[in-house]
Amino acid sequence: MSDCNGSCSSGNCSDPNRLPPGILSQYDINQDTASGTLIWAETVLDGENLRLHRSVPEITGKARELDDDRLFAVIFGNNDVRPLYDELFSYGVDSLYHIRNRDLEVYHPEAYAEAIADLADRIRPATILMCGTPKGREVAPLTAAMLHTGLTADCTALESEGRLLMMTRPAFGGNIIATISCNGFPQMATVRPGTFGTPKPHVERKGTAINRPFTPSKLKHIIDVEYENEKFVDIGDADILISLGNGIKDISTIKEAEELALHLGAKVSCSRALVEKGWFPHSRQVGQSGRNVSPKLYLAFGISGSVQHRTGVHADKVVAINNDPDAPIHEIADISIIGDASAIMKKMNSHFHD
Amino acid sequence: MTSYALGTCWGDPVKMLVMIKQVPDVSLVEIDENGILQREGVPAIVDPSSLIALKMAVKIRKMIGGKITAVTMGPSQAREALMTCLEHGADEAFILNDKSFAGSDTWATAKVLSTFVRNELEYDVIFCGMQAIDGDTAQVPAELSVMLGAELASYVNDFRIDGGRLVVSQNYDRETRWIDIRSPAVISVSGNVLLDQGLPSIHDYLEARKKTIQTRNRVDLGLGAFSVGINGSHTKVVKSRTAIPNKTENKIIDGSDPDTAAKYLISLAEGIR
Repeated sequence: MSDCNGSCSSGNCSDPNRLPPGILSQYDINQDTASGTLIWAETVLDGENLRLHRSVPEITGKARELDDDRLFAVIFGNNDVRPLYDELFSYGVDSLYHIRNRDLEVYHPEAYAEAIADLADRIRPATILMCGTPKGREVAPLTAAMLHTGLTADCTALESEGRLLMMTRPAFGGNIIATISCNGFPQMATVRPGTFGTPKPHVERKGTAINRPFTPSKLKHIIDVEYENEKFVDIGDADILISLGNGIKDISTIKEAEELALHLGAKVSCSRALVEKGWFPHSRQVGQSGRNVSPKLYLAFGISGSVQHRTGVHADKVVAINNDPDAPIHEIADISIIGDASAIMKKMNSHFHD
Repeated sequence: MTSYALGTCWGDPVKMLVMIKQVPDVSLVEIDENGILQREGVPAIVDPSSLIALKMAVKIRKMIGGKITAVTMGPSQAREALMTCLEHGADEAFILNDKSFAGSDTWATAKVLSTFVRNELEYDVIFCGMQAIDGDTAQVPAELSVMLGAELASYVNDFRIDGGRLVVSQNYDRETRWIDIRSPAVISVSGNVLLDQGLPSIHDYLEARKKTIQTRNRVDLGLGAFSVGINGSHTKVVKSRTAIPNKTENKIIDGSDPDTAAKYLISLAEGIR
């Protein structure tokens, strides 16, 4: 028969790809069917208000960019997180699982990981992404161990090859950039905050929110939690950063820097040396073991600029103020000012006094 | 020494393990003019965060007594790292050394460490450095805690012993949490906290020479060749390249007159605003 479509059972068909009678299509039953991406929508208590961590839209946007598969998100908390549903949907989340448990309104790393692993068993995502925040970098390895899968921490680039994720991260003190893949699903990564830009929200996008009850097997004995939002300065979202390094010998220069920051609408960050001296908290450190920053203007006062420091600076414009013309910081500087960093800073302040 | 200084879930004396990592001194790594990383001749050191973990264990031992065991997985050169730990106060040391362990990712590393601990050592608490300066993944402590079914306390920067409880402070940038740790536990000590960095005395140094470092290989641990090293890892490095800092054409300005430089910088900053 000339118009045989291969689905008959006459036995006259010569098509080698013909399926057995009654079978409509063939599946490889050994193939992993995992698909889609799951993200943990980490929340931050900002004074009285609960909001998404600024890195959540970044990873959501990236996940949307990687493929068109379903995008799942998981969020913890009580009814206070409901206003965040629409925000997550606007960034591209399709299904949002809201874990409901009174105990889990407070952060419990093991219990959160258990809930996420339990959810991942249910929805079988191909990829799980989390923010490279202190909490994300604690929950992610716990989840990975519970799911018996691999994890790449602190990624600075993600690319997809089909369902396979190519994860890129700095290693060896920022001297090497390694691209890593995982040999099974789900593949997991944490992403360094500030690596990907915030996507444009599509306010009209809709999604599904699902309440998911969960009872953790174990909880921590938390004695006290102190929130330090007043003291905490997020150097990741500053337009201008005044950054201090080991060339600053006098602790009073920090006061000068803070004052200058007020005048310029800037924030103050530092290099590792000053954290080690105890002059700054770790959260202010720029570089490999600190933060990636992407301000419009980065003013490096007395920073020599080790490889580890330089890898953390992704500014539009870098100005190095240093009396050593051979300091490595000049390699990434757009403008180098060879002079006394502390004296120049003092002068800048005195201009605002006039 | 008070009996059960740490409540009934803790052993008496308290048994403490410290996981040690030997790393190349990344601050001394150089990149040649072709952009190739020069690994040769870079000295190996004990990872600074491992050493801080050990110091926390030593501090606890000073307060309530106990025994400290240092454990490392690494090539035979890592014995030097263990020797440093013995000098800094560890009571005994084990090296997990096998050719097949090479190329392990964090999962395979945690598997080797957890298997060894489960087979041979009783413990109350395991101390780890939060993140090593070379890999910087901060994953092994968490994976170890899941594999051993122990409680995890990350980013620990302070502790107190309070009415039979070990209470640790954790620094999460935006919040500080105080939690009550119960045995068994894995504590990862944050590298950005400076506990007193005392150097070992001549006495410690000589005492350390008397102690032996014990070795275990893959067969001793009863692990199959496919559960360790590259074969036992979930992640693999597809490619790697040297990070070459982008050299930009830079404008050099003489800053010998602070006033001119200051004016210039202010105009730059106001341009941004």
